[in-house]
Amino acid sequence: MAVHYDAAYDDHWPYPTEDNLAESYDTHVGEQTLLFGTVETLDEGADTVHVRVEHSGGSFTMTVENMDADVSEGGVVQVLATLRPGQELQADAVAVVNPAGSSNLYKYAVSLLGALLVLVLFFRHWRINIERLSIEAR
Amino acid sequence: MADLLTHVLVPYVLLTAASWRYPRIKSRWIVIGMAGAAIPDLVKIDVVLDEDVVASLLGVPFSYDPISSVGGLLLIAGAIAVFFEQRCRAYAYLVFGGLTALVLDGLRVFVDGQANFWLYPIWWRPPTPSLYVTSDVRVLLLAVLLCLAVFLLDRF
Repeated sequence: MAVHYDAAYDDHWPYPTEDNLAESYDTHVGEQTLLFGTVETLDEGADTVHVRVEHSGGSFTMTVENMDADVSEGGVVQVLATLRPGQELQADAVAVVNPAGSSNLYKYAVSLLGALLVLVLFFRHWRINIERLSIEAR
Repeated sequence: MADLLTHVLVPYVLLTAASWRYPRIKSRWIVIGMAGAAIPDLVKIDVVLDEDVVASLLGVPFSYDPISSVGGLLLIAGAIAVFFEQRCRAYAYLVFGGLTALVLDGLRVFVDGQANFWLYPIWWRPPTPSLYVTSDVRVLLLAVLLCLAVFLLDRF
């Protein structure tokens, strides 16, 4: 499943992927894409931001024009945009995934709490029998 | 995805409320439903062992993403359920919990209105109502409030 998924991914994702853009940006100019990027610098007066986009071999930077969203440096945005020459994106729609870099910390802290809650409840009601390799009710 | 705490609270709320009508739903099984809701989040194993590293070691395309999809859930829940005496029951609760987490994730914001691949391998990109982003505290607050209400109603 893990192999099939990755092999078939490009056929089902309707946009050029991050890897496609890293390999051959110029062939995709004019196409629409959906990217996730981390905000590096903001130019609020000009509605422009620079975002870092990760791909499997590293990352590249894109300039997003027409960026109408409330986000700080370090935040993560989702951009539906048209690819322009020179690593530029003309944004059609933007959503803020993380308003700031600290949002990730929030997510991990709260998720850790969730994991602990499940573990505590699990071991209150169940025990693991190593000899029989089974999970039994307490 | 929504945070893990929200994920595990949702099946708690649903199953506890259902147990008022169906007493067969015991609290130890509700816990298994909650554990099931954590299965799609195992995709975060990527933080420990990068999928690109696995792909280059195996020499084939490789992605953890199916863990956070219906296909991956059915498989992993099965692998866990074999350790229980009541396998079918454990499987049902694990899958139920996992499905609530996947459905919740399927409601997340995607600017083009199509969700990610949570219904893989049945449907690659179903539509999403784009209700929330994961860092939205209101989602967790709502889950915690519902959880408290159900917890109190259950006790008294």
